[in-house]
Amino acid sequence: MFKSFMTWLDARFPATKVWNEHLAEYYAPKNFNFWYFFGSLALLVLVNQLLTGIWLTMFYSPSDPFASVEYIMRDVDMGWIIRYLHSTGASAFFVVVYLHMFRGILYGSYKKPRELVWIFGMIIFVLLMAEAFMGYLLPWGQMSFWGAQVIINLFGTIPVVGPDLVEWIRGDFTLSLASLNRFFALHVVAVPLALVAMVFLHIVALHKVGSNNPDGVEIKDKKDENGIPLDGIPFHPYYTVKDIVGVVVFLMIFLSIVFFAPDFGGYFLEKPNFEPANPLKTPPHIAPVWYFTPFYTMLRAVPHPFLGFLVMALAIVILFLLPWLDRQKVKSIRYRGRSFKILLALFVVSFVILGYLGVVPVTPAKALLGRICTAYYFFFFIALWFLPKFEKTKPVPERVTDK
Amino acid sequence: MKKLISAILFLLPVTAFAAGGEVTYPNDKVNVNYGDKASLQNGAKLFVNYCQGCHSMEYVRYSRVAQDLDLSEEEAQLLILGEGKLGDTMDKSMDPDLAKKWFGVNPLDLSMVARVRGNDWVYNYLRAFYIDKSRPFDVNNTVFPGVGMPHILADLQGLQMKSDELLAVEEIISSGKARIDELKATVKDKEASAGAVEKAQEAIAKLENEIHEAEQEIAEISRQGKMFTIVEEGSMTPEEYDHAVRDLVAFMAYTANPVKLKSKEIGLWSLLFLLILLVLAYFLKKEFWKDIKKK
Repeated sequence: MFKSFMTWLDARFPATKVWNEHLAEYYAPKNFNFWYFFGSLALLVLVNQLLTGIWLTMFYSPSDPFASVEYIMRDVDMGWIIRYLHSTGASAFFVVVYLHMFRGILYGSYKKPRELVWIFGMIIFVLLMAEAFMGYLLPWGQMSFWGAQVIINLFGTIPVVGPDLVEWIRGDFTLSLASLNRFFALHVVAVPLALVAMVFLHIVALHKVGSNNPDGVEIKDKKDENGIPLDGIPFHPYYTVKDIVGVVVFLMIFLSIVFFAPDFGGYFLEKPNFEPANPLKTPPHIAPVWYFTPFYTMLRAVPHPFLGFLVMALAIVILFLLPWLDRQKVKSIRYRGRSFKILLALFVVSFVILGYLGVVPVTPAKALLGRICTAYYFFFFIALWFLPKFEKTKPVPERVTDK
Repeated sequence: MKKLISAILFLLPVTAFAAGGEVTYPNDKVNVNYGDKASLQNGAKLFVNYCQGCHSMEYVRYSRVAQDLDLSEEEAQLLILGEGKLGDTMDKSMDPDLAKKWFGVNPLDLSMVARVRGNDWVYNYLRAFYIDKSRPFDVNNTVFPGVGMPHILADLQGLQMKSDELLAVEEIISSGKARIDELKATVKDKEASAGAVEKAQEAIAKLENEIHEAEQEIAEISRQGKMFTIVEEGSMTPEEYDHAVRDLVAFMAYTANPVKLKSKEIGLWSLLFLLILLVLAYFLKKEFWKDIKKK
């Protein structure tokens, strides 16, 4: 019965073909470690955001935003769970994506032939930032309003066109419900559509070239008589069952936050955001949500507003160039030299410091530290370019290793 | 260098920051028990009787309060002042326009104030009114200086003054700050001799140190509960009053986040479920991966 149905279907739609190409006969290296959970987790969080987002949209009203969020939190049955799943999901998305990107740097996953996988991934990252920023405006709390005010005004620093551009973005002379309404449209339709399309391309590109692995060895170079990579195993069932374990562990952490600490000490939901937006009352301390703070510190590190804006933009642009900046042929950190390890460790430290500095008020000492870390952020990418000249790499094995 | 940095910071766009969350006194911790229904009920009663005349809780419904606080329908009806139905939100009795006339501002909605300010802040604020004849309602507040609200709970607490100890320390701080301002003028004075400037700077450093010590002394006075002396007794002893305020804060903490208890309960069950799932998922993975290891 099922077989005849599949025959019927396959004659009209490549169901079995797609299933095999992307799951049952997609050969992934058998040595994936902990870092390889974050790709599938990102997909999980995306689905969570889409589903909870749809339900929130059923009750949210952009003409009475703050009250409608409280309505969801109090009067809608289970509304608070859906809202907290969505708000915590936003932060979880960034946690997962930052770790996913860091994995790419660890094992050189963006290097030839996976440059395009990285580029698509970076576009997803930029879209995600836009999506998160516009979503944070929707509750129309104090931090929604003032955070958006600061970020939109960044465009005002652009010479000549700045002020007009800002007005065009807001759709009003001040940040108002008119701005919120268009952000709502972009947040629930335009950007998610683009995100899903880019995720599709990201996966298609990945499956064309095959996954990298912690050894940075191309498994396709060594195949058996049937043309199957010797170190490859079918993604399904092996990695599907493995990823379920990762998903359960992730959900345990995720739901602990959702149910026990949805504000996460003011980092996921900032306290002033429980107060309705008030254009006449500036909060004493405006801090963006944690996932933007490293870039926010870079903005503040530069004395000139427009130059600061450029530096911040450049910090993102330079990530796009990573596949060409990192010229070392050896992919994995396992076989790279000590110089790379030190460089990368300091990069992580400085990125975390940049993130921390973005949530606290500026003092002269902290401003200086912010500048040093910003400088190091860019130094890291330049150093990668020159590194192959000095780096003492270890011999890369021909096949993947066990641990 | 420092000057350069501060000049640079000054030029930053829109992002001028004040130091957030300055410490005020008293700075006591309140122990709120979300599961203590009696405490929450007492808090609801106090809120309705003392606060709701001026302050609304526009996102909170009587029916929800009744349900969450285990109140019967008759008991819940008692919460509703004037005409109102059980399904209504807890609006204030006062007309907002009149309020603006009387107080200069429309009193804030209190649905979520405990979440914005924190439980401790509300607890300290309600215990920190003291007599100050220079203010429109004859009271001021150490937690929220210059607040426009009368001491509405004065019947219960009575009226208090800043204690002599506190006043003495505050005097040290204010006179010290005034003296520093004078000295700073000397430092900036271009005609002052180098010696005089140096002396002034030394004096400033010394005064700043004294002020710092005085501020720590206020913290100590607060810790010992000696900030105020009661001059007119209320219907409650200080201990009873602290308890009443705690109950009121508990109620406001509840309205700010009415699902807190429920959320913990669901959280525990879902973690338990995931734990079982984790065991199953782990062994499933192990079973499948057996053949990989053999290769």
